[in-house]
Amino acid sequence: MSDNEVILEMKHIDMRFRGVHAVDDVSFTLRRGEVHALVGENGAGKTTLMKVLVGLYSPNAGELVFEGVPVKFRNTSVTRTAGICMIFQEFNQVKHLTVMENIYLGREPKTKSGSVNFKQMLEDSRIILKKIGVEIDPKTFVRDLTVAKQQLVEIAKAVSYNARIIIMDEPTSALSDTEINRLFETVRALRAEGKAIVFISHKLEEIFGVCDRVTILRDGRFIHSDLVKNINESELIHMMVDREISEMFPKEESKIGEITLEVKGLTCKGVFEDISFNLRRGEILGLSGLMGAGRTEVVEAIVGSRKLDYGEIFLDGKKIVNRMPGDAIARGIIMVPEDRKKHGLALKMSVKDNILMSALHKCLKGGYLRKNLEMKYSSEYMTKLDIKADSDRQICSNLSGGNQQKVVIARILNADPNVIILDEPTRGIDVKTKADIHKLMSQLAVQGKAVLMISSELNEVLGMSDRIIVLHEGKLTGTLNRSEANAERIMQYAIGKMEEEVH
Amino acid sequence: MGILSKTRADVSAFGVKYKLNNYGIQIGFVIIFIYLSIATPTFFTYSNFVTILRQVACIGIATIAVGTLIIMNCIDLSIGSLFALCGITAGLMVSTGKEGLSLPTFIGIGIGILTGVLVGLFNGVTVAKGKIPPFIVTMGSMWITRGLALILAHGMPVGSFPDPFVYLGTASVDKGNMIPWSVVIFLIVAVVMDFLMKKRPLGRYIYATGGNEDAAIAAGINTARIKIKAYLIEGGLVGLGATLLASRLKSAAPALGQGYELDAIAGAIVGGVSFSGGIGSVWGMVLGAIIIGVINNGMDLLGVQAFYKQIVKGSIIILAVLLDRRRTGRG
Repeated sequence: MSDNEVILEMKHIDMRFRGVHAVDDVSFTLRRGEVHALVGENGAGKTTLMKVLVGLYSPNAGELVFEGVPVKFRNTSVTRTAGICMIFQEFNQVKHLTVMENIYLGREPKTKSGSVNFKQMLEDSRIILKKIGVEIDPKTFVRDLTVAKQQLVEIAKAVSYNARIIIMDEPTSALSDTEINRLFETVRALRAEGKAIVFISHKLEEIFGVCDRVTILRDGRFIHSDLVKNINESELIHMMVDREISEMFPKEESKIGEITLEVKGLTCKGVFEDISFNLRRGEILGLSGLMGAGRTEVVEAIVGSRKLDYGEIFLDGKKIVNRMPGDAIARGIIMVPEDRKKHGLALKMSVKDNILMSALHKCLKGGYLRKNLEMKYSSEYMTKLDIKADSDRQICSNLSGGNQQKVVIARILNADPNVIILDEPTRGIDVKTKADIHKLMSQLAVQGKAVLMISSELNEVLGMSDRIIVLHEGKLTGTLNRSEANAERIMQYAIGKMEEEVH
Repeated sequence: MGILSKTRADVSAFGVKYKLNNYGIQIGFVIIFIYLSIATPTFFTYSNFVTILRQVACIGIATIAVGTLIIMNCIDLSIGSLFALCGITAGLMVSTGKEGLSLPTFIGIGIGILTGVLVGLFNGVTVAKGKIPPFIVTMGSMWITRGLALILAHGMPVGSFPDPFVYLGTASVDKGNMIPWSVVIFLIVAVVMDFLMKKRPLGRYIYATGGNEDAAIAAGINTARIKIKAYLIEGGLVGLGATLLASRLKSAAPALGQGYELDAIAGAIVGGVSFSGGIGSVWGMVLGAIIIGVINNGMDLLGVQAFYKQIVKGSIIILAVLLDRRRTGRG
């Protein structure tokens, strides 16, 4: 298999987004008839590299050679016609059309008079679905299919374009075990036909289960590439996570006090199950796990934006029920949401309005909002967090991602919380702001606040946390103290090995 | 371009383009104003201005009412029908005619406003708790309220109002008939609503709810409650506007106010309220209502036929939204 003909070469690809070096001088070689795993942590640059390949991003530097010819793809439709298809985590499907209509969307076979030739469409769809070994009636509506089957429809679509390269971005993240096995069969069938498949994943069992070759990325850099059979599990984990923990994580010693927040047996059917942990004053508790492990959902339940099926939440020993985030904020529990544009900010409103939004009552005196109080609080946090804006009246959509995140954090701090929950507080922001936010978290802990931090970045979790809890598929698989934690152990819990197995 | 294309380049606050995008409506208004002053002998007179303001007052109150909802990213299509219903309930209270109850004027005004508040309550609760799009809810209540108006008035106009009731809509503060009471009430509504939107938490929460409802909820705002409150206020204001109109017209017909919702919405949009919510000011809405009034008045003075008026009005609304789109970067 190793001597198969090379179909694609990506040479020295370099991709930057506003100071963030997403892909740094990465080369990648793909051969016919192989399943090539592209692995790395979240944010390692896997998806970005593939988006460069299909023409969604144009790289700052680097070269693409496809079937021996240097190419430059400007958009996905060009790449698709050339024979490269990417299947995204979010499918681009029209839910209210049938399977066959989706497969041939935009290039429907026509009759002589120019109307759609459904008969031929049906026949062609049947042939393609049969070819990849999938039993779906082309006439069913996509909305009626399971996620797994929708994914197979996407694959069928790729095949119908006569794709020689098919890229699958974490294809198994929403599938059950049997569905995964069926997907693997399809992948093997495609390989047997000589197609090259890029399989983006960070699940080890899948890499060893279906892939022939593996390329490891870390922090946007190329780390290693080899045949899967020449590599073992622990080497792979080591290459995925090994890094030096630098001054990026200015952890200060803080006095850890009493338990303030305690959750017992939190369950939300089908999402997470029996989650219990506690959080002490002055402590930073890291909540780790892979994407889709249920981390965000658990904290959403704590602040009241998600309904619980079972479980109890205690604050300073007293049982509380938060029906909505407003209840939690009134009790001093507030969250920095994961998606700042969707849940964190009103983008079209000013910096000032956003900072004050969660604690407007502080500016209220004698029945109306005082300008001087508004100024006082907004400028206090703009200075404290070093928010770079023309004035406090600047509209948030004109700020950089890092400054937007600081505005969200300013809003949270202005509400004077005791328990602060941060969901991916540094995702997609520049290195400088990231370090600022880490410093601030340390200071908050020293001040005696309790901090719960969700992060997909292992270094962040290791660098900042006093204690780490790890979720895997909605279950709590491990708890680690700062002294005993390392990347390998977190990763093992995160991929579902329970505590006993590790020791 | 990828993710980079999402952020717009900052526009210099001194550029012509910036001014045109942000003050286009005001600049257009000044041009229309100057043109009408030159083209017609009667436009630039004090008595004509009073006429315009008198005509604008009732619909202007409704403009502020619906503008507040649009800022919240909601809408009320039932305003026109509500004008009829509130006018009729108020009229029935005070009317000395066969159907009327001959009650004192203040009860009539109170009932007119209360009717608006009750319909607002219905709209607000259905939108906030039923989680039905406001467009659908208020389209339904548009028919319901019109039906109620027809039933209550037996399909006939309510008239025979006593003098004190008529006084409100027709009389002036001064003897020279220069400052009509209705205009004073319109101004008071504007001042109060401006205070509410700028200086009370409720106003800020209305902006936040319209700006990004998900973020507002995450920030601890009970957006359902905010929506209900806003609809209550809106209904009350429409009730007040309707009572004033009935008083000015000396009658309330079940067909009253047809198309008023569109005039009110147009005024708010022309006045700079973003149709996607989160942006707008009360004084902008006042200006918008006056612009619509001036255009109506100007076309009358110029002798423009009624058919053409509609085309002009429609074009202005589209133009205003086009400007809004350019200003906010999206629709």
